[in-house]
Amino acid sequence: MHLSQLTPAEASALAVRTLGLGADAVDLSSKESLAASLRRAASFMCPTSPGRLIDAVMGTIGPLIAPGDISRDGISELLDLLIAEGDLLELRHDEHGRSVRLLYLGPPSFVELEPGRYSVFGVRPFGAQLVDFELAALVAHEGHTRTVHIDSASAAERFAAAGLRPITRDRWIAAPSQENSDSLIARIKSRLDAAAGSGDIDGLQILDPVARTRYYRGRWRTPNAGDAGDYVARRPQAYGADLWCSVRLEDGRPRKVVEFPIDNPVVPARDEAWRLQMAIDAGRGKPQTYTAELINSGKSVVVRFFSPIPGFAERYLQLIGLTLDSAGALFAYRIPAAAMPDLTVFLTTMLWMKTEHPEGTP
Amino acid sequence: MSEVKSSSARELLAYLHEKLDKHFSQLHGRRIQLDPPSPVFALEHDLDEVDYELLVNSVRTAIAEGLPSWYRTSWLPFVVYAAESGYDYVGDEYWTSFEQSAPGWHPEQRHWLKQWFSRFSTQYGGVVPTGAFAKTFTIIAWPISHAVLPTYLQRQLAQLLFEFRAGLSSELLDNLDELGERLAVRARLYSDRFRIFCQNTALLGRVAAALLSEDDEESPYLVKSTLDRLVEGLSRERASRLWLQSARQAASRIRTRGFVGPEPRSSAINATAQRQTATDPKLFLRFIDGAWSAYAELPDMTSLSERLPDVYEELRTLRGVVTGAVKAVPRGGLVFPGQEVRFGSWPDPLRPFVQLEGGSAAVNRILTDQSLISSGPWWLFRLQGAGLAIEVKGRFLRPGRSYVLIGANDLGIPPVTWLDPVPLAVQGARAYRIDVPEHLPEEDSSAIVSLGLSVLSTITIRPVGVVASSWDGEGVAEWLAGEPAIIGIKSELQPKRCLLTVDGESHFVDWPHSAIELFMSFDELGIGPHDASAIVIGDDDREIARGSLTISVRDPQVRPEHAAVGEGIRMLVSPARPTLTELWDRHATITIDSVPGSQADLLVRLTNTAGKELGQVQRKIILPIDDNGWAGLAEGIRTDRSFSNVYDEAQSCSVEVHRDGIGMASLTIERGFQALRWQFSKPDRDGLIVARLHDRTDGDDTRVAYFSVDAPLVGTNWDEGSSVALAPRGGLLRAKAGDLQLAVLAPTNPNAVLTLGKARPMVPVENRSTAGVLKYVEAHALWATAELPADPFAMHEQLEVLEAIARANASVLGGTYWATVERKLIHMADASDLLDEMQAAVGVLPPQKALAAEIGLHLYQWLEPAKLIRGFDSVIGATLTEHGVRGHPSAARFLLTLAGQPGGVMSWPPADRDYLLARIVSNAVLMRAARFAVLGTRALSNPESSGGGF
Repeated sequence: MHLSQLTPAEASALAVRTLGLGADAVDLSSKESLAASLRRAASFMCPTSPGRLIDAVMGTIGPLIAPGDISRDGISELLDLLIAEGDLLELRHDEHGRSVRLLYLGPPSFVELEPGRYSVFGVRPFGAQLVDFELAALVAHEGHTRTVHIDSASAAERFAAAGLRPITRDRWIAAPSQENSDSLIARIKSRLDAAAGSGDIDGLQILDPVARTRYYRGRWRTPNAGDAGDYVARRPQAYGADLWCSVRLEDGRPRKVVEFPIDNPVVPARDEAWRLQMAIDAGRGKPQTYTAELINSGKSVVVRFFSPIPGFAERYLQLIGLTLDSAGALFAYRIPAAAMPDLTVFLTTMLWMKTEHPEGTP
Repeated sequence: MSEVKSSSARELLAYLHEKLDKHFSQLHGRRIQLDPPSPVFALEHDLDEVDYELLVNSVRTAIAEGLPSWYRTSWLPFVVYAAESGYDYVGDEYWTSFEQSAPGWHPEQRHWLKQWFSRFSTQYGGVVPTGAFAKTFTIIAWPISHAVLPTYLQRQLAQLLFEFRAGLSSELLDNLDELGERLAVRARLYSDRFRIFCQNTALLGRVAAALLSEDDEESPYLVKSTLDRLVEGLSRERASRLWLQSARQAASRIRTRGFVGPEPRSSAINATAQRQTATDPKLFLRFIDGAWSAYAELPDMTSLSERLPDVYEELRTLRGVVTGAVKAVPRGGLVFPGQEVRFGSWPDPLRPFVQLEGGSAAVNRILTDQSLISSGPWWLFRLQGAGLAIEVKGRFLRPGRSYVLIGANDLGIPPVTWLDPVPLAVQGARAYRIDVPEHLPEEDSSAIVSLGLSVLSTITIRPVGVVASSWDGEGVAEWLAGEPAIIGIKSELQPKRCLLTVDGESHFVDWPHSAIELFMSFDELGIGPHDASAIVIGDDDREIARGSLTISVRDPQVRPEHAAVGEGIRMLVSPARPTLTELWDRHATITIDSVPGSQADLLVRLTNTAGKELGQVQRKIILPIDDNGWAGLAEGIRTDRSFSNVYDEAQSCSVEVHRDGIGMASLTIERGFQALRWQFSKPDRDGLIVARLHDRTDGDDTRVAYFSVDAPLVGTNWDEGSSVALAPRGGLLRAKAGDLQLAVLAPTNPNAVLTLGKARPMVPVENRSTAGVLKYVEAHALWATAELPADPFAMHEQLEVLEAIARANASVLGGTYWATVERKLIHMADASDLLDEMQAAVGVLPPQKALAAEIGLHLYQWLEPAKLIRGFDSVIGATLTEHGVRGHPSAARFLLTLAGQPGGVMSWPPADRDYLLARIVSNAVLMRAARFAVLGTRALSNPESSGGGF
């Protein structure tokens, strides 16, 4: 046994190295380290609730970094990105007759972003690395993502040897069927029509449809006495992830409720909830918006988003672009200008979004 | 110039014998100097290419000439030749390949090899085969053990060493028996044949140590030429080369650091001497529907079989009963990590926490000792978020934190004001929520201490930097072997230094100036628990506070192919590790768990000995799949032609469930190493099928018997080597060699069976005696447990035989009138038409009539096996007592089993079985009542149901 006394900086560097990252390249509070910490915690703790994973990471990293360097909300958003990426899954679990939603480990997989560039994702249990040997040295950590540049001729064989399964781009994106916003709203309405009475629901929060769409967190509130109609809602659970639902309110009191996910049991509930809210916003004539700014002499576009988007749209963006630091927005991507027309069609047809500054688009 | 005649094989053998004698003598001399002495392997002959070629040619010449006595005096070349054959052995048939490579070899010469290897062990310290394989294969175990590591097992050993690399320590590299034992336990996830190799743990430890030695290093356990040969074999394939490289690097790092500062022996001794806490359950609470529910997470108990391999067999096949739990752990569940049980009543710490249902006293004693919960009377759980609380075994409370405290109902309410009763969905206990104030009044502190709890106020010891593999929030943290345990010691007051004691070794550490937390890293802690305590000391050398942490270090776990509990798709097979025939003959079941309603792909692949795919079946399935779902799925797969056409040839199969992006789980299931195996020819033009026995045993006492469907209790003896021409209805083939027995059902000629019509098996009437009944019981067990071929008609014929035996048994035990009812039933299309007659036939005395009426009244409520047992037990109790059956709680189940599936009573302990049989033989009403219950519920059940009852 060897015992060493460490300064906080030395302890941080040792922790970063133990996470399989280069201590020279990233520090313990970086997105890369936090994502690695969340994955490591998940590998031991899953199935578990998001809150417990966040507690575990904050509890171990907190003592080594300056106050304010990380926030619970920040780690929670990062966790959502890991779920969207496929590192983690949010799935339903029946707990003696009651449904709870817990996080599970995504299977080790890879998707071809473009020939020679691959995204690898998934988490192995018991703290095992996703890939070993030479492949580990080729993994580039960028934010929450892990990419590998490798000769496309041998990629499939090398990934297979490392125990990673291939996923086609379409399967990875896993976009739902295309439909117009009215159709989606009507579908959910008919579900609510057929649902049994809900009774009162503790801790219910609704997304205010009339609140500003550019400030997502500010849209959440408890139901008011005058609220009536169908709303996207969530309710925290003592054990498990928040439950997302569509709720019918009368005088601010819930009458009927349907739980998400409705269309696909293996997508995170919030993905379907967010998409419904986008349909509701579009139906009100206030579609959710993004901005597109030309950079790099018109060769690239920075696309900024102000509200969360479903995981399938996140993955689509990741396939065509790169994440950027997102000052003034919830998140942003740099997209090749040539990919922008397709992206515009995608965001319009799948999420009914509009560009806020059409003049900035190519 | 004088002519030089070519040397005879005899001269060459003598020359080689002398050379080998000298070499092995020297080697033996070196190996006995080791502590402990290490064995010599015949593969370590160290002959160069020329000499080896001479050896091969000379041995073959001697064998071709009939191996006369003048050759046998130079026996060492034969030992080397046999070991080399073992090296190339592919786990199938040693003698077949040996005979092919050395024409002229006769089975009656096999004993020479055994004799020579035995002499080799005496004279040169040669390795002696051990383990179950060596007991069964008393001859070929020798050359295979002397082959060190047969080629076909090399890849698996490389993988095992790789997966174990983080668990290596300098102690293990010095204690090869221990290394072998630890590796053998990990080998449970590997192929059947590799596990057989690993049974010789001493050999395994030495081979592993040699392989882990440095590239240019001479290993004391294997000569360099042999080691190079193994490494070269392992390096041919990329994956195994990388595995070995990585494992060697890990061993090298440990050895290098060992020179810098060897770990004090005391900590290792302390760690191994401590009880194996790794097999203790973890208690936790979940807040669901307004109340706390209590659970235990059970670890994989396989490590208990580290020194007692038989333990695994019971863990693999039996159900675990947890005290207070709502449901039992499924058969084999104790060898899967992460099984959860929910408590219906609070577990009594004075009773064994988990026991195997029907397990041996020895194994249950081990479980009693090695799987313990805290002793109570109070259990403390720390809140982890709002809905989860994890037990704090150290029972530390920290100001400002929230806990749930649980104690038995009869304990008084703790006298502190900051404690509130909360709902607990568990019988026999109460729960209280504790929100510990920042400042505790003195009287509250005393009250807390009186409950066996303690309050930590000014010191915190916790994992930092990297999330520990397990952390109870206070007092116990776990890291994986090979990674540093980084901890922070936080003090509310400013200390001057800290006295840190780990496993009894003390270190003064200066406290960093003006810091509130001291960070330490522990590297290379041995596997097991380590006690760390910290005393923070102020300026005047006064103790400010003290605290402790149990640092537990465990082997990194390897993901099982059926997936870990945290994955999106999980499989569980019950019992664990079934054979191919157990799975497809419905003696084992697979359950697949995932998000309800999700679709997945199921792929079943059948492969032969060489790993070549013979066939595959694919299905789209909706998850989850439970026992019944699997029964239906398996039935469909089994009758699929892609499966049934190649099943009999298959040596293993893989069952894989996968869905992109959600998960993948699989199981590899082998037929298992079979010393005896029946092979069936393809039907000829007339549909005739011939069976032939492949006998891989060393002995020559194998006996073969063939039982026809028409006379299922009468076996016809056949010569072992001859082919058995099968009757159109198939039948049963039994081969016996010593303690080994193999019974298989033969395939049928379906066209002929259709022409012949329904089978009428003739079962003779036996004496109404225990011995007579046992004949039926044994025959039923033989037919019921025989391996099934792919042919679905064979199963149909089997059912006819089984029912005929059960009917004959019931007729003999039930008496003449009941026998009449049984005969009528043969011709009834719908047995429910005869329910009234069966009820009347139970007995004519008033109590018998009352019993029959009671049974008849409840038949509809007893359509599930569990309900039938419970219900029948409640109505038959008085009759059992009246006929002298006392103190046998399983008597009702025994009766039902004897009535419906007589062979099933073979699983009762012989003394109980004989006692109950004697009572049933002398009291016919017992069998009549049980048979009525069985036949009545069968008649009223849905014929499409998947069975599984009596």
